[in-house]
Amino acid sequence: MNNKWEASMASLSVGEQFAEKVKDNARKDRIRRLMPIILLVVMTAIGAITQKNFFSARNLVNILYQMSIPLVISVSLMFVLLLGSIDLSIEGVMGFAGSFTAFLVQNRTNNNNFGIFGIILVLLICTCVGAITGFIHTKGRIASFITTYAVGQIMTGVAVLVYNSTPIAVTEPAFVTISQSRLFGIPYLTLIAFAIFAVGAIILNFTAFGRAVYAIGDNETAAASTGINVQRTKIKVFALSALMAGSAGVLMCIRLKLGQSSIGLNQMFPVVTAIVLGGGSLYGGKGGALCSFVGVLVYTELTNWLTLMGVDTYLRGVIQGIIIIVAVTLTIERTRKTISK
Amino acid sequence: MKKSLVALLAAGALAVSAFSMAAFAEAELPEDIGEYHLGICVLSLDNEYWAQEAAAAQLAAEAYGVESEILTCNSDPNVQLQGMKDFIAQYGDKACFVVDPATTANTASIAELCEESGNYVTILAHRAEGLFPKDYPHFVVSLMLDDLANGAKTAGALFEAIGGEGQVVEITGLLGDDSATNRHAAFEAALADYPDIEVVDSQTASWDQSQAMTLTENWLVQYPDLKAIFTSGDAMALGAIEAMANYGVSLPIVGCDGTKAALEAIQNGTLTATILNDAYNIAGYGAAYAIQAACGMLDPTSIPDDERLIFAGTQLVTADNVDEIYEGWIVNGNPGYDYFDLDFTVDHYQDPSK
Repeated sequence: MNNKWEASMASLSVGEQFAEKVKDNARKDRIRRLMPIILLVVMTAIGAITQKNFFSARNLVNILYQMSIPLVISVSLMFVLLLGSIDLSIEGVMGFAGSFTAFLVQNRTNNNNFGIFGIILVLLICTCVGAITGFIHTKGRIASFITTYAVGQIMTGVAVLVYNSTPIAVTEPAFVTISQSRLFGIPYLTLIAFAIFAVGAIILNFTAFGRAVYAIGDNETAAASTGINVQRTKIKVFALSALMAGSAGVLMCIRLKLGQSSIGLNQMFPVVTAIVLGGGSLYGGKGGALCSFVGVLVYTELTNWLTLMGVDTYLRGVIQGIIIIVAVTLTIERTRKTISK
Repeated sequence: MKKSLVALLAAGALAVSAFSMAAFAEAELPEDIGEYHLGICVLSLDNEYWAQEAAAAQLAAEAYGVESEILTCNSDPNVQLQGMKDFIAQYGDKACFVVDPATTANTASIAELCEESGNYVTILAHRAEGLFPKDYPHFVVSLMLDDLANGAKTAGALFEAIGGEGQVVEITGLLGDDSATNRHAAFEAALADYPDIEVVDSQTASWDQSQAMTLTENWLVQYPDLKAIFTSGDAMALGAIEAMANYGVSLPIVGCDGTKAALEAIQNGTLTATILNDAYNIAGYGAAYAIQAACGMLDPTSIPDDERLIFAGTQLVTADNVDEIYEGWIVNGNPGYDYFDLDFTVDHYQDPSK
């Protein structure tokens, strides 16, 4: 195959060779972009064929419900990963947001009842924390990996202090309404999460800020030379990321009716994996709303399907891991020369 | 900051009850008891149960008039050992310990460390196979929770609640964890007495509430005839309860641990039963054993070998006794144990051959 290609190249001039190569890359890129969609179709087909309940209305609602919070987290990661950075504080910020929300709304532990104002306060604090993270990362020139890891630790610690080691059970009636009431059969919580995702997608695709994020991820120096304020954009991204992580924490608190630091635990890496499954890049510049949505949907379908199949609990992790590796092999982008940045 | 908060709480609870207790036994206490220091080694304070263990050990220390300090290790066995070494370096032979080990394997290192330095130690909830207090004069007692017996109790309560027949699912704890393994074994063993119970699936939720909720959501779709849910941890039971509430069903379900939120769930009728793993018992009396041995009130070698392997008392909590337990353990933060009566903690003894 390669030999044939080389042979055909040999008869061409340098200019023609270059044009061929560009065309070849473009063709590969088109196929690669289609892969996540193909993956989604295949996963859905496997689910539908092997499990009669997979396409039942109840199960479809389950899938939508289960992908809600990962979808909100994916907005956070969508922006951060496009920059080629990472936000490891997501889990800590989620834990804090969930714990502090439980502390502020009607609950069994104290007499607070701030309702929606409590949630607004929590989200404001999270946004400020994110802005500070971004500030330290850019002005202090400390890698996002380290900065966000440290901030995550701080937020987890603060979360535990909020509820003093005994998780707070929420009795807020609005939380029960949001997780149990439905519009056209879809839980309010899911609708809220989808709305948040839609806003995130619009910001990314239709604002100057969104285009700046793409530009910085693709080539930071070039972006700076076109007049984009790189540092300010990055600070905004981290503020937005923490706001989204905070929203995910509030939604998790609504889902579980309990506030504790561990509600953020193990929430971030599955979504990173999902975005990569959807064709997003960990090195910046490639990805976006569609990648995130498709990735999160495929990942949720996979975990849902494994439960429906009743796979042995010891084998479950093994099977899930193998499927992820195979899927990522098909969708990941390999045009970059380096695998670390 | 965390430490002082917990200390403050414990002190508040103490002011009311434990003071009179200490006064009553004061006459028998050695004169230099105030010079002793109890190191309370727990994994971290962000877990409700571990925080309760620490508070309980502090209650016991205050009852004896001994200074105490909480040493956390974020579940890292090496950090735990180093913390103990530092504590010994500071207080010498006036130091003693009550330890919830970071790992089961760490219990052997802890026993050896304390034997070498001559400090008394009680080890809670875990014991490496073949590690016996009789081989270590300074390893006062091993206090364990009988997960097998407890799992049998909750499984029994659950099966009775559905009349001994029907489809059941099981949510297990973290794979490879010894408590999770034992509670799963207890569930399996209990099935032998109930031949009409059909286990349709068993999955791990790694002690996590959210994972348990997702599993339950999927099961409710897949098994419309499901009758009951067995879980081996309260957090997971609470997750399953939320999933059922959203789905509009309320099946019998049991947990294990006795957390505040689980007791509240029993009060409002969504949780059938749980086990109170009673940190005030195991950790409070664990501290008392170590203190008594350290200050010469108790000679561990005078206790028969097999009686140094203790299962601490636990309780099955159901709607019948939940209010009383909630009042003592959660509201007052002190069930009013007499930490001078060491025999109180002994529920039964461990198998001396393991």
